[in-house]
Amino acid sequence: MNAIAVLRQTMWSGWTDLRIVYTPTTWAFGWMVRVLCQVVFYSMLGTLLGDPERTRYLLVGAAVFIAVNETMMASASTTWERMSGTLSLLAAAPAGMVTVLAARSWFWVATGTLSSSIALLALAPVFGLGLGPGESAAAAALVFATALANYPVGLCCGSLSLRFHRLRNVFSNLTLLTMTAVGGVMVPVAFWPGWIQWFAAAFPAVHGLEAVRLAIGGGAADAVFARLGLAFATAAAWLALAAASLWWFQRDARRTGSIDFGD
Amino acid sequence: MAPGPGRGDAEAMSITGFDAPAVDVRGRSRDFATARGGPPRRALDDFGLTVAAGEVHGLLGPNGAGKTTLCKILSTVLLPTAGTARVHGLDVVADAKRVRPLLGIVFGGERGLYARMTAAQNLRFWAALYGHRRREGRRRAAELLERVGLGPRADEPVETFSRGMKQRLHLARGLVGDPRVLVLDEPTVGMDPVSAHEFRGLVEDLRAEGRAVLLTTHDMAEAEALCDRVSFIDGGRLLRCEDPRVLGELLSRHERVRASGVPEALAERIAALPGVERVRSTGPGAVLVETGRGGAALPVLRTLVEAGVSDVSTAPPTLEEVYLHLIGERGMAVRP
Ligand SMILES: Nc1ncnc2c1ncn2[C@@H]1O[C@H](COP(=O)(O)OP(=O)(O)O)[C@@H](O)[C@H]1O
Ligand SMILES: [Mg+2]
Repeated sequence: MNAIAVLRQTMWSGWTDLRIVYTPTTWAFGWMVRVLCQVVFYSMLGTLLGDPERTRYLLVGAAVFIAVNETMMASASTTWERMSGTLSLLAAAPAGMVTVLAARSWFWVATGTLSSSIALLALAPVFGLGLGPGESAAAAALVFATALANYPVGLCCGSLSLRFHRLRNVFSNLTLLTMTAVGGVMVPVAFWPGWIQWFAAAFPAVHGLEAVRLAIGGGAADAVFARLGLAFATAAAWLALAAASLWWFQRDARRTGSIDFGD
Repeated sequence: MAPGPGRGDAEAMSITGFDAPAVDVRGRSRDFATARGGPPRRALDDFGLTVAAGEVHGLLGPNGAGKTTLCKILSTVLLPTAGTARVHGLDVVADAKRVRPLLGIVFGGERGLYARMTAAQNLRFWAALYGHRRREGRRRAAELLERVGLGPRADEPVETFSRGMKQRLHLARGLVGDPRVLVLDEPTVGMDPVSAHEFRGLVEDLRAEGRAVLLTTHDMAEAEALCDRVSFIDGGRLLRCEDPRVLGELLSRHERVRASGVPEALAERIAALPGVERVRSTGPGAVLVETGRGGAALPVLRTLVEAGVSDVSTAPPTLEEVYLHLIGERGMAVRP
């Protein structure tokens, strides 16, 4: 099959979507200002407590979760196919809709990595976190890995948003909130009871964030790679779930007639 | 690659059943669940139809008749409740995967295109989804854009296009997979007359290439101008399948004359003219004359003009009226 051609064309269509979301100006002065304020706000909580350790913890958690936040927007952009009225045409095309829906929102991984890395590297010196060039490069690479690994989680929410259109904003917000609460952003995962820790371990972003913390905190390379492995293993499971859910949506829509021509 | 027909072609012929009709629908029904658990609504009721290769088949019906429902079933995006539909002998449910490459889908309106992408990018995208590799996709996109007259605008974003241009791009999109069967669902709805005329020219080319076209419309003049055969559908049921000349004949036979400033006595004289079915009052001094015979409108017009009435116009009958005549409910009240 010409999956490569489908992917290439889908990425193009995603790229044109990105140009609706941001212009360089709105990205710099709208989104990036918001991102920096948010990360500063969290880090200040630590400063106010007079705890430099806590400050650095909050800074890294908040900065890395910017990438997580942005990749969750894949949920919204999955439903844009309904806005452009192309859903029925995708369903009728030989290649089907699953590949296109799964790949169309890739740009959030790119922008998420960019804004998250900028926030982390720019604000680290401000809050007393010294990062050498090696650590900085490792952090950016691991932020990218985190964004990539969280993308399938956003897709899963997107598949549910397509299906339950009225609740389309609920899934990604609820998931992001859950991950932020129990995922080691403000307090370590170990703070929670055992069963919540197990639950948190199901999210790739939690492992990604931990890998970043290890890499810039002088952790051993094996430990970093072990976390990275967990991030990608859980991501693979989410990707399978997202593909199944999209496929399920397509099959069910055929039965109920919920995909309209021009809808 | 060896030229000429090889074993592969012969196999493809038998697999896709080129000897079977391009479209063959039998006993097709589709129910939709209604809100609050009421009885299901029947959008298609025991519907049947065939379209041969090289035929433009019109599906004519008012809004809500079930035209789009049939198009969706043929396009494999909606499952029927009962009956079978085949495309070149392949069942649209059981063989959906093999049916899809044979079909091109075009619907009316502004949607179904990626507004931010250029015309060429849109076509390359769909070319990939219809199995073309990069180079082939580029070639097809350029060729089709030329064909629908969008060559000079190929690299402009679709959002800058007029409605007629979008619709031509939509047709090019439908052709990107080189389909044997085209399903056109009210493709000219909302188009200006010039664009609609151009669009019809393109559809005529498709017939000449031996493709089968199923065209839905609620425009009788369009169906008459374009189609080899016309099926009348209403309330999900097939009323009749006719030669479009019958349609032209119906249109002229039931021509209507509208006039105002008509005194009572004159209205009575007109009602007595041969071929006049009914004279209805549509306001003080205003009348609507319905005729039931070809050419009957002419003496009506003459009588009105000779009596000094100057506000006179003729109009073809509405689809509803033609339907009433088709069903044979002559004399039943027509909704104003
Ligand atoms: N998804 C759906 N759910 C419920 N009813 C539907 C659905 N789609 C179409 N219908 C109903 O089926 C009938 C036929 O609709 P449609 O095929 O769209 O008509 P047309 O295209 O001829 O205007 C209408 O009464 C319509 O309300
Ligand atoms: Mg319709």
